[in-house]
Amino acid sequence: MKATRLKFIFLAFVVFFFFSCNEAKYMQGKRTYDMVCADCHMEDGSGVKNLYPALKTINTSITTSELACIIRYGINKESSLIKMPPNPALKSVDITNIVNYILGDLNGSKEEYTLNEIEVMLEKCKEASKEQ
Amino acid sequence: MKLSIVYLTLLILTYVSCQSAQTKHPLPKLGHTIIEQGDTIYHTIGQFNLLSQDSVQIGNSDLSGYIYVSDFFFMNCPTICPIVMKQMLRLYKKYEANPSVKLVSHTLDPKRDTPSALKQYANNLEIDHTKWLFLTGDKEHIYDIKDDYFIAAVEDSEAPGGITHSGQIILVDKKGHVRSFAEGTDPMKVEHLMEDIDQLLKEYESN
Ligand code: HEC
Repeated sequence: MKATRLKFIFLAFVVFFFFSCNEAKYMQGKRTYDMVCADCHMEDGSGVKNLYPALKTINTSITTSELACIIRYGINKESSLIKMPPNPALKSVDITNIVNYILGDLNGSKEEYTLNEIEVMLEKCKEASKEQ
Repeated sequence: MKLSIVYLTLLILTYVSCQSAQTKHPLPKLGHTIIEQGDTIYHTIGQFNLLSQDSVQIGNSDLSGYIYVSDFFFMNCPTICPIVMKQMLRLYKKYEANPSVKLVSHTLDPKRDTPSALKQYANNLEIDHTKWLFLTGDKEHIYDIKDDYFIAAVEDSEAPGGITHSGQIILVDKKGHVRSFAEGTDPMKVEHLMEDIDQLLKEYESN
């Protein structure tokens, strides 16, 4: 009797951990995303029509370095109806986490980027923004 | 024998509960009510005259005879507005085919949100411009009107986007009385608002 009870509790734990792990692979990225991006792009990345673009289907539309640079520098094009604000307070680590969360959890991509790779990308668009 | 009593009770219970669902109380008319010489005067949306995204003048008479949901926003609002807009879009989709229902969004930043800017905004939402109006106009006039919808809004240079405001969606009936409202950032509350809209539509059908 006691043994089955223990087994049951053990099983419950396994099930519980399975589900809690399944939530999001990049929890740190999710936390930052929910704080700084979700108001405009929605928590599930579904966006609002053509006003705030969806981020759960961006696999193919923009490159990873564009994504990293947009997060840091925002979007302020002549043609933009609504501008996306820059995020100067976010560190490269935060940006790496957000990129991995968007690509991995929201878009189901297998690719994962390291801090180093993201820093190289950010360095490039820093130079590009100076040239203008 | 016993079993049949159980069945009978169940049947009666089901019947009674169905009945009470049908005879729901009508939605209240919200706001300050005055009784004057025996007449009850309910809170009503005051006179307004604004411009739509098509630069057409819109006043109370253009909305009387429709029930409508209303919110206050501005295009450059970085906080709650996109979330509320997403819920308004949900309402739009649900009542898209119902000609008795309209949606009315007022800008709190008329200097930047001109009719042509709002037109582009509405185009990006891919909506019918006669069903969902985006209104702009004289700033003081808009800030007066918002009180009739029980919306709080103040300019605040410290706030993100420069304006602090509340994000309720307000339900107004065919005579300009406020009948319900919901926190526009909460999808569950908007779900309840939809139930109220359905109930109000039924009230008009049965009259
Ligand atoms: C104040 C609202 C707002 C916030 C907050 C915001 N964005 Fe944006 N974002 C926009 C708007 C508006 C656009 C479209 C701009 C344009 O194309 O003119 C956009 C565009 C984008 C794009 C380009 C999408 C595409 O398909 O071209 C990406 C990627 C993006 N945002 C990611 C993010 C991330 C990640 C965050 C959080 C760090 C974030 N945004 C926060 C408003 C916002």
